[in-house]
Amino acid sequence: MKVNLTTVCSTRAQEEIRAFLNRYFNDTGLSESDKNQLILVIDESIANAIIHGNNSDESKTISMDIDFSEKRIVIEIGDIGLFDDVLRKEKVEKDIKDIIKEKQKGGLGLKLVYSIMDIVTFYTKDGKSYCYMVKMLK
Amino acid sequence: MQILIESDSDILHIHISGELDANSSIQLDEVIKDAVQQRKTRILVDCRELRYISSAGVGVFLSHLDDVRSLGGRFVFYNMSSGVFSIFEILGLHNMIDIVKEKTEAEKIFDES
Repeated sequence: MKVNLTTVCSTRAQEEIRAFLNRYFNDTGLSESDKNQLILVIDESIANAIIHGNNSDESKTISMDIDFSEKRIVIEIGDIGLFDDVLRKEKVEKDIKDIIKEKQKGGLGLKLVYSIMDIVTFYTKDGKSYCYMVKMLK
Repeated sequence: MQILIESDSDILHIHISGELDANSSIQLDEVIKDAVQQRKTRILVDCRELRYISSAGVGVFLSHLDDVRSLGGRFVFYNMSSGVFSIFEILGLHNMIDIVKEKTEAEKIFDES
């Protein structure tokens, strides 16, 4: 069951995207917990792409492809902008106590994405950057 | 998302309804920033109507946590749904901040502190 979505590069669009994903996942038979976690992962990835990757430039769009099967779900999001790999690694590994101490608002989204998904990779093709994620389903 | 503020002499109640994400968390940030400036740092957060929270929403609370604690206050969350709780749990925050089932338990934490 495949679906492709394209959204304007604005955080204002996210509530509508979540509503769409909620309806999409309702037809998959996923548990409520799995459904909520996958919506969160996509929401976090899109927020990162909008805010950090594309500076909320509303002239741009972000697309996502979701491929659901009984055994796994594959999610691909692009253009996520050019992320710094070193910075990304630092964010994911940063201790939550340090995030609190440094009064940081960010840095949690990637932690959630890496905690929930089984595979998270990034690649660049034709000058655009993509996030490719897989979750194996029980 | 909607935020309702209820304030008595000592405790600030924040009732959040709807979805707290990257867009709506800006409003919550202003509310907590004002509370900290006024030294109202005993903060009860009612999550009964909170349907969704993203990392941006969690991040707002965390970014003020150090200031709140250094002023002798705390956040106490109550009426949290299992979906919202799971996000705090994945981040390991359920053991670091106060999350209780009901308002009476939440108030008791302030009575004892």
